[in-house]
Amino acid sequence: MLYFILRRLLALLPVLWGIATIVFALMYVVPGDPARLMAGQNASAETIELIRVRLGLDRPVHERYWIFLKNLARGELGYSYRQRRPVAGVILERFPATLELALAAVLIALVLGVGAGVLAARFHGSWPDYGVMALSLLGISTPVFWLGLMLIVVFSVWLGWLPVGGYGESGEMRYLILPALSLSAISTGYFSRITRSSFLEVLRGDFILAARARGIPERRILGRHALRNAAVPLVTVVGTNLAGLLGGAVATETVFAWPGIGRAIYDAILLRDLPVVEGGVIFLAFIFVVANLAIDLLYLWIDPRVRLPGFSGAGGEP
Amino acid sequence: MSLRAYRSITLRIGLALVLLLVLSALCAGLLAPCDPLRVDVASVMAPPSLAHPFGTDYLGRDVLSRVLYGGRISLTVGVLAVIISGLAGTLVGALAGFAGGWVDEVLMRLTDIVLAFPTALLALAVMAIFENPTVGKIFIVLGLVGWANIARLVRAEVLAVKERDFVTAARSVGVSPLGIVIRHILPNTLGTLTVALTLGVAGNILTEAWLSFLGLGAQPPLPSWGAMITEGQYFLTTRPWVCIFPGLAILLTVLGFNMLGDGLRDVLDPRLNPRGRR
Repeated sequence: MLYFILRRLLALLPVLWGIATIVFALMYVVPGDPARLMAGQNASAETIELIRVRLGLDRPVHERYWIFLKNLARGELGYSYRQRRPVAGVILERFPATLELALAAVLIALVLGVGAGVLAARFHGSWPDYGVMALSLLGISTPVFWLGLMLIVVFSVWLGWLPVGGYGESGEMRYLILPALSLSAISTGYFSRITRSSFLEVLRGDFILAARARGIPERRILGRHALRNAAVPLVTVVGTNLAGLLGGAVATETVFAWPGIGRAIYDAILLRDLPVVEGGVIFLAFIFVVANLAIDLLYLWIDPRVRLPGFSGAGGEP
Repeated sequence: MSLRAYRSITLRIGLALVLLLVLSALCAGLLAPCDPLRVDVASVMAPPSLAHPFGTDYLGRDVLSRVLYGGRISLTVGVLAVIISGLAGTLVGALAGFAGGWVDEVLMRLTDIVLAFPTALLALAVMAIFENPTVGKIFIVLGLVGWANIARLVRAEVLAVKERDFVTAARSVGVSPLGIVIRHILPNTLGTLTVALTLGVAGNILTEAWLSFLGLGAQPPLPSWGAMITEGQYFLTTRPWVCIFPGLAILLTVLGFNMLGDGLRDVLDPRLNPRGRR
């Protein structure tokens, strides 16, 4: 078990290095002079030169790459041209709001998605099944930002129930509802599909037949026996879906003026403040990778088979 | 088409939607009531009417015409990007699967790294460095970030087919390795590949719309669906139609390709659906 955890942690390193290298390459080829951009229009040549030296832009590529990696290892993501402070500070300040939004969206998606999936499996081949399947197809096909705007039209403009956007005074719940709902749509669709299909798979197993033969009520069979076994593919999908969720957060936070990392990335795109864009992306990618590691470790708890030494990796293609 | 194909409702609806959207994008010139770029100050922000079925935007441009022409951008980006990732992914996957050994090891580690990166965010990171993002850059970037899962699929198929008797037979009569891959192995991966690519078009169209919405895609005045929603959101509370219709177009297009992909999977790959269709 310890071996499994250690191996997964080691496998993390090349991935993180790859992400960092891609982003460094992107920043290196970026057109325009960051020093000039940072100094402003009326700066003298000396000022620009000074900034260039301070940012380390005057050094050769390999040195800059090495410094970049060293800084990254220390949690430094660069320096914002516009906000004139370290990117890491900007990101950390915005992180709680993004985390709150993402967790709320995952929670909504899990409750709605798993509920709908179980319902569809229970009534396999009849109208609740078709209804859930149709809705989940709609869910995974919806542009998140557009859904957000439509929710604003219905619930804020027409009905006047919920605020159009913003974070509220102290993060009031009603500000969270619409952004979290729109962000959860795609995940809800995927979760209900995977829950349905793995439930149908599990329900055909011998142990379910045995449980039924013993006269265990259907509700308990679904809730206890089937759910636990269907959870493994579901957990995998929660992990892979996180990528879409974090990407969706950029759009959702933009639509709802939610003060998270996504909104910071969007504002930085508009201002061409590239360190914040790239730093934000590195950070979100890092969250994605770490969350997936956590999910792999979760298998140890859900699925005892993973603890076997010969088991190579979890989940994967069917 | 087999009987099973005929029976798959998902496939039929998906195919119908995709055909409808492709035709309307191709025939945008005939169907559109107006020039999508024509500014008409006399009818700015007009609500839907007979003359402008989807209303007009803040420059008085006809929303229906823009939605129709916008389809060309979305479909072009979606399909071209998938062609790029399909080619790159097939190349990497076939090479890794067929060569085996260290080639396989290196290529698959690389694939893992790319797969571990959230692709939409990678596309955003790349698009953000361009001072003037264009449609051409978008499909190249989307194509280049989307190859990894194709590579993995193709490799798995190649590995599965490689040891089959007909491949051994071909090898024993002296067919070259390249010949074996092209003539005998790749055709066997077509089913899986078609499904993955069709679903890929859906994903790419969604990502393109998202990037354009963030201002990293097709630039104004080009009628890209995502950018139309960006322009429309400032008037959302009073003139929602400017946002509603491009969004519906995205939804229908993505839905069409998703249904087509799901339906194709049911038909082409019965292994994934052991219960069979009712």
